[in-house]
Amino acid sequence: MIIERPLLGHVDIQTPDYRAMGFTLGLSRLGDLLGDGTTGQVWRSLIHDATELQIKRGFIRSGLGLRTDVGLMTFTIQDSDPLHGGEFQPGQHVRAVALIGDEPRPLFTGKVADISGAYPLNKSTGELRPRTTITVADAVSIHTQTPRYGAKPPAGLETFEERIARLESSSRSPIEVPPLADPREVYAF
Amino acid sequence: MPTFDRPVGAATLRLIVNLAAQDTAANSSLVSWELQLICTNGSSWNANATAWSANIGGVGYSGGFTFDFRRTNTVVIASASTWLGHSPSGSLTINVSGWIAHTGTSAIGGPGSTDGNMALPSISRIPPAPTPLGIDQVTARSLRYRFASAGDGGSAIVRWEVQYASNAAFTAAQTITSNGTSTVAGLTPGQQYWFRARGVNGVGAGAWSGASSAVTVLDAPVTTSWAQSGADLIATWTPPAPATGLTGYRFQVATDTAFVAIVAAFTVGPTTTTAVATGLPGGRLYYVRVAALTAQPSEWSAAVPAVLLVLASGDLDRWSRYGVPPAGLVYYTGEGIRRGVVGGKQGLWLESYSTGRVVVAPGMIGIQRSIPTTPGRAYTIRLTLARSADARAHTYQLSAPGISGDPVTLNTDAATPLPPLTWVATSTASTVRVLLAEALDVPDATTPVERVVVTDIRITEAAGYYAARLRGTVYESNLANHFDLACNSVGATWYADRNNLTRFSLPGNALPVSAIFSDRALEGALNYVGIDAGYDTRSMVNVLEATNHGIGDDGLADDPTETVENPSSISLYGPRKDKIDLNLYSLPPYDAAFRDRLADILAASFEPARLIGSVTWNAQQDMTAAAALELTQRCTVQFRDTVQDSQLIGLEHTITPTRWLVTARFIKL
Repeated sequence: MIIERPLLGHVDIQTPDYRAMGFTLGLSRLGDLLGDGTTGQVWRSLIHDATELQIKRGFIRSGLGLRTDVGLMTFTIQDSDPLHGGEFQPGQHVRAVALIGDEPRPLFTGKVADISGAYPLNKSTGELRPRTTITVADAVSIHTQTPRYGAKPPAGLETFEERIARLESSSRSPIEVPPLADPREVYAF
Repeated sequence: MPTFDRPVGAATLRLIVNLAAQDTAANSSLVSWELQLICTNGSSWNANATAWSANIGGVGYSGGFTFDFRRTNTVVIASASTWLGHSPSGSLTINVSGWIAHTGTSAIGGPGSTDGNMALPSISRIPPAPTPLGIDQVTARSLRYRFASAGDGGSAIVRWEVQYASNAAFTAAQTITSNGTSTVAGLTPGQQYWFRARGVNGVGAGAWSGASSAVTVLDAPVTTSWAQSGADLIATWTPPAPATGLTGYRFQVATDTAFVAIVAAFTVGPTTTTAVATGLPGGRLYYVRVAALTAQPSEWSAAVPAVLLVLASGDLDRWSRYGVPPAGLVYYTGEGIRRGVVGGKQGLWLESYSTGRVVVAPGMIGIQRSIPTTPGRAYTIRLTLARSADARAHTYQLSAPGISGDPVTLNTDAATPLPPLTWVATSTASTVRVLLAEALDVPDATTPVERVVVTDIRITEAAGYYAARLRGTVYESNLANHFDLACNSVGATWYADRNNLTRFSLPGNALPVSAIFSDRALEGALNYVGIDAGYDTRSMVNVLEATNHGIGDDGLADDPTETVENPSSISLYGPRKDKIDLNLYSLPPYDAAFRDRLADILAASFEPARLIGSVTWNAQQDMTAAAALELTQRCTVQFRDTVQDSQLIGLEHTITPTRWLVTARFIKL
């Protein structure tokens, strides 16, 4: 059963509002008004400019195993000219959320990986109306570009959890390391 | 009347000696004497004086005399008397002599002399004090006193007297007759007694000898109890009465009535009336005796029935003996182990003794216990041993299924941890052992052969969800491939979640079901609108080539490759080959990990399986559920009569201003 209802107010595309948060190196722009720096993460909605939203995350079946593929989110913004003060720039945090009540529940979170603009001609008006396609990638893309040479536990062997904790030192994106549990005592006398 | 004559020519020189009197008090005799010259020829005479001398018991006399035998036959030359002293024993023998010079006559001539010895009657006295020979044969209530005679004082001994008392002044002394050896009974235990002796003869009682003294020993304690308490034997006794001078008790335990084989002996203080014998081998009869100590010990306490020491094993927590003990080796308890407390800790005692020569091979005996284990999981046992210093067995080791620990020699009785031993369980139960790890040749009966206590036993299951271990690697790549390598090795997955946080997930079959997709409108299920299903042939593999990345001894890459096949699958479907990179540690106790992982992968993929690959669902049916979907979740997918246990491996959201479709991709668990 296909249900078609307006999704405005139920799905949103958001980016951090750096102007409300204070100066953010690499993201804030000259001329922006700045907050006092005490405000937490503030997200600004972009859904009103967006048209189609695609999110694709998951694994690639690679023979016997699963290879984690880079998660991507793409969407198109109307009347946004990336070359003339558009909303986005590479590396910018963007997320898609479902709004359950007033609570945003992320569907995807990542950083802008690609911005491509198109300027189709409106033959009836003779105007160029810019359309910008934004591609956002998740942390897998960061991990695939992070070099790592070996993993050498001092004892020559380690648990899976210890290995992940060791690899975390190389990561440039947050990792939730599986808990390093103490050995479970199964007998004592 | 003793007369000593000697002829001188025609005459005779005569010395007459008589005992005139005796003075007993002065121990001397009065001797009278007379020197005569006798001649009967009726003619000899000399008006001139002739010299003479006499000696009576050392007293000398001399002078001159004249004689005329024409009118007499006897001329008294001289006479006198003298006191002579007797010897201390009262006897006296004297030498007497008389002499005259030449008489000046032809018929008598001269000179002449006479002499002789004379024993005077002895003077009797009281006997001298005897000589003490000492006191012996001391018991609690009797003593033996001996003395020797020093003489009878010149009079026959009428009797000997011995006097004893409990004081040196002999106040209230008892006097008995004796023949020189007297055993006095009826004395008080622990009391000092003085003894002396004297003789009595016709004159009277002699002087007392010097005093000798001795102390009677105490009565033997009375053993009132000899019984087992726990693993110990305890004796109690009542003190002797009186207990004068008591300094303590001597306590002995033996395995024979003659107390030749003494197994415990020590001294306790005078206020103690209990002694505990510990650490004795079980299954034997033990005898006890106690003596009270003063200057010398009392007699031993009377025999009491022996006690058979039965050591209770206690709650052994399902530990038991391993192996059959060789002939001559006897365990202290029926179980061969007993539970006890050592240094405040619970422990298991392994104790045995030999009744003769015993030969034990390494690993022949020990203790063991089975514990529940999960196949494939790694376990580690740790424990501590402490050896009794007198035990013959020194070396022990741990053992677990398929692996043995290094032997450790316990040189002292200090607690010594054995090296931890790790093994990977292959069944639902694993038996761990503590083994005697040395060859023993005990030549004769020895106690103890084994006496070691095991404490601090800990068995742990290895940390982490996965039993396998990853080996070090010099794999040079990116972080994502390192994540893949680690996850492929153990069956985990990794992904970036909705918040862009990188997470690692357990294998799907270890997770709870998070969502149900169904082709029908069911309560609680997500009613999908499209499905992709069929035979999954892409992941079918019957020839698997696996590379196990690692580091060699030279520090360089050590990446052995192993190929496993499923021949029946190959014959049916032809060879379907694939490769996989792993990073598994494959030395003991994890030596089976690499092989098992390959077998698991091949077993899951050697034949094509029906697969519901994906479903498409309208998220506007339940946007809360849509927002909750996440990669790696376990899902149930229903399609007609097929119910597939699945893991979510792909999520696609296609959102337009009025439509939100979700495509979920699955693998079959």
